[in-house]
Amino acid sequence: MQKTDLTAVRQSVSLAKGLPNAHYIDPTVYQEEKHALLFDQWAGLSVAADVPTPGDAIPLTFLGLPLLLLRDREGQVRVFQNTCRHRGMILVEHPTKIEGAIRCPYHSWCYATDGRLVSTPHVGGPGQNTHEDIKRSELGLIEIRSHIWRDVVWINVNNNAPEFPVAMADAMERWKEFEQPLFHGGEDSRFNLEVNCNWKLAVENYCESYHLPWVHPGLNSYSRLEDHYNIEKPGTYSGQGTLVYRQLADDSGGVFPDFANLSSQWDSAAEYLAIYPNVLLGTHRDHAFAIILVPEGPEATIEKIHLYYPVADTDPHLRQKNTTQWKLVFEEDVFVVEGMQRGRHGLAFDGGKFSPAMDGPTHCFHDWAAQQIETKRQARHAAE
Amino acid sequence: MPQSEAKLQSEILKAHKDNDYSRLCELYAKAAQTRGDVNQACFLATQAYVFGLQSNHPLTEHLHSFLKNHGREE
Ligand code: FES
Ligand SMILES: [Fe+2]
Repeated sequence: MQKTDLTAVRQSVSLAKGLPNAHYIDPTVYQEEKHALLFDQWAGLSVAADVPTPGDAIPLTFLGLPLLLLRDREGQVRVFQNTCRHRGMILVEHPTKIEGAIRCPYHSWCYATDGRLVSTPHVGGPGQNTHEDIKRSELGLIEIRSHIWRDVVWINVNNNAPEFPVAMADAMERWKEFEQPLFHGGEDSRFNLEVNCNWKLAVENYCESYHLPWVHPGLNSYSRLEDHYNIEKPGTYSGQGTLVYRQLADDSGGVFPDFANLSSQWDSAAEYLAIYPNVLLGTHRDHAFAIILVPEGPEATIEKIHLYYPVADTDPHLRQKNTTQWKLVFEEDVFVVEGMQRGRHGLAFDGGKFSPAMDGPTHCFHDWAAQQIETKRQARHAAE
Repeated sequence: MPQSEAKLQSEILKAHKDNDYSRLCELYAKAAQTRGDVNQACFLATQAYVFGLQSNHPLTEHLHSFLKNHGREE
């Protein structure tokens, strides 16, 4: 495979170029990035609120991988490969409630919700359910390493990343005041956006404030560009913050309750972090959100958006208003991420020239991506 | 086929069609009881057991013991 040249990407922001076009449109590079940028990392898959009660199970496909997200009998959220250990049949086809065991629809091998293989009917012949060569303890479901933080279900498919609290220590430290229960707003607080762009463009657009006055004039009328600051933590996250967050209010001035015990900086601050690789988080004194970017090919992405509150019971009216407001903002971004995608079919586009003042967070993400890809290439090379 | 057996058979088919797993557990368990032949009884009890596991049916425990006592289950 012809490898892309990432030297220019690794330069400092004033000299660097962005990632080459191939990283947005080429299926071979997409496969390379699938491992280097997603399977080797802690990537966002879904949210725990999607499986609220024990037995809830949802089949998901993540970069071609068939997965099963479920909450086991004990209440623990787990992710399994949705593939039977016998003949490789897909185990769960539709979202379902598992009452007892997961029964494979092919030959009915049964798995407990914690993944144990509990029955292998007729495996030793009709009416004989054991066989000396069928060792159930070795044939449980393949579990994918997972961790819940801020309700997001993060997975490390290749099982090679540091422990989650180590890998995410910087981001967790930055927002430690918000380390408290989050309540999903429910059906009115989740929506998906399907966008025709590479998932990385959604990250890149999210973490910069440079576009706000042009793309979100409404937002910018009260939140001016100079009230924003860049956030860069090389290797982990980047994003933006605002100093003039104002709470949403209903007609009679009612607002959402605050998260408990926040320091005064959060009275009017809000932050938006792109946690590498594919999770976009936002937090405010009175609500938070998570956006999980699910890559659906080099040029297609599903953005799964979820809004959260400090308490379980919030005013449905105000909640709806908040969802509507955010949906509008995220929809305003669609034409730019799709436009940048089409722009990357311009053969002579060279990755682009960054504004050293405004594009730091974007470059920070590119530098991370390039570094991960180079590390993976070196490891491959060493192995050969 | 005696009439009672034909009836059971058609009830089982209907439950399969309805994806009614706890009913399948009960019907196969009933069918297992009609068999004097141990192999046939264990075959049907296995069917019952699997649908019992799936639907978390109260009969599951009993079916498990039955199969285990006959050396058919762990
Ligand atoms: S493939 Fe699942 S039991 Fe045979
Ligand atoms: Fe935007």
